[in-house]
Amino acid sequence: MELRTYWSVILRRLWVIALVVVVVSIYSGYQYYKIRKTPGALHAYSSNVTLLVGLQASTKITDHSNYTDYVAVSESVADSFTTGPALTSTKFGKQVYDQINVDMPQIKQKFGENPDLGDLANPGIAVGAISSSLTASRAHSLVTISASWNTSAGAWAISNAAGEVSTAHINDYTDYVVPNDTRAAVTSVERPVVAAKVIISASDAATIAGSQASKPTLLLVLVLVALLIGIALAFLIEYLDDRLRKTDDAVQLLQLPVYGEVPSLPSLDNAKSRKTQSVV
Amino acid sequence: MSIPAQGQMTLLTDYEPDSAYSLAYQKLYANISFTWNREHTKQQTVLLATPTPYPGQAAVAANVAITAAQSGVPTILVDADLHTPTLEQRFGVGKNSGLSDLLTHKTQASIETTLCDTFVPNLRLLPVGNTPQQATSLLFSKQLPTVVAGLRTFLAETEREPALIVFNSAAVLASTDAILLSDLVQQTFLTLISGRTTRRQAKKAQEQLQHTHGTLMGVIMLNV
Repeated sequence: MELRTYWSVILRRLWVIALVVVVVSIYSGYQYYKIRKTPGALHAYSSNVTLLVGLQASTKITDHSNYTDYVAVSESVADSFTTGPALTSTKFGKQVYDQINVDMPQIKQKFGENPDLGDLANPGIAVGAISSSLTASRAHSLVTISASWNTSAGAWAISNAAGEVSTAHINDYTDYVVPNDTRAAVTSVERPVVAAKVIISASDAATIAGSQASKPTLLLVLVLVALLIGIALAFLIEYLDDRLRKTDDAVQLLQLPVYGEVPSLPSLDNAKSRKTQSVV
Repeated sequence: MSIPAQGQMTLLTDYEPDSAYSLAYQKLYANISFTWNREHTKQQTVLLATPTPYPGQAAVAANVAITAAQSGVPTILVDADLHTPTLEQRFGVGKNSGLSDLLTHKTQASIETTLCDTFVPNLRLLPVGNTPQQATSLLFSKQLPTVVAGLRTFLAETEREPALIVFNSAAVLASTDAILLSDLVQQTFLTLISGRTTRRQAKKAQEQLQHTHGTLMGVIMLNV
């Protein structure tokens, strides 16, 4: 089949291709519309806060640990805080949520009287959403907590609150001594406690790719795939179509000569003006 | 005077002689006429038929006849499609006696009186006539060979020039009309419509026409 023949098949079956592409385009368009309407789907905001995690020095401590021991334990604690389940726990999320409410005057001062906090305004889902929005990384004892949120104010508020909660409650999550049943006996031993200190405050939220940022590309690919499927379908229909289209087909089939090829009836608009035809 | 109404078949005479449509028919007629042995046969008989019913079939036969007439060949166009007679209306010949009357002998019709002159010089039309109840059985009549022979005799007596009789018939696969006529004419042409006629229909029509004594000369391709 010549290239021109392929093209004529595509032109003849254009309706099939168009149908498939239009249907898939409508679906893709609807999906894209939904994504655009979903806050944080295409674009999200990220704010970071950096903490220094370590053991709190005290003159009361009577053990004989040296500086290297302190550094090693601090890094171990920072690692467990970063990679452990603490940050993503419901308890931590609840603490952050409560802290945000406490911080509300500060938030309003920074973002105006009615800050757009996104899902934070919905208490039913806020705690869970906060837990899943937090990630952390560390460099030695420096832990950076990142909060991704669908609004700029929300990301900053979470990041800021996470820093505050970590500072206040890190010992609850990363105590390196596991107490036994007699808690009193343990606490009677003087030992350094884990502490955290915010060294870089919550940054202004930066725009990052949303959770469904790659979906528009996939939808576009879907339309292109639909185009290919439409073309394939057009050739399949052509293959199954038994109708004669070309003179060569008739010659090959019937083994008879073709005496004439008459084009489609042209429009009479192009024909000469109607004659008055005399009937004798 | 006759002007085709809207929706009515359009004839070659509705178009410029140098239009692609007209030139295609001129080429078709030329190709058909090249096959004639004018030394032996002065009156050529040609049948055009489609495998399945097609509204434009009568126009194809009419246009071939018009082209022949315009080239100076005395021509008779026979509307033998007794099921759907259309040519008499298009040529504006009114409700005259015609082929069916010649076959039934119900009237005193003769070939000379049933032939109608048309607005195309050199072209006469033999219309269907009074539409019969059982059209197919009419063509089974023993009169059919007599009528065809009579038409040739009429042309031989009235025309010095070589002449042509063009038959328009019902579709090959729709009735036996085309097969009956094919047996009586010298040349049969199968008209295939691009994008409409299927391979199966074309092959079946060819097989049916080749069972007769007639000569299936070739194919005319429409709407290419």
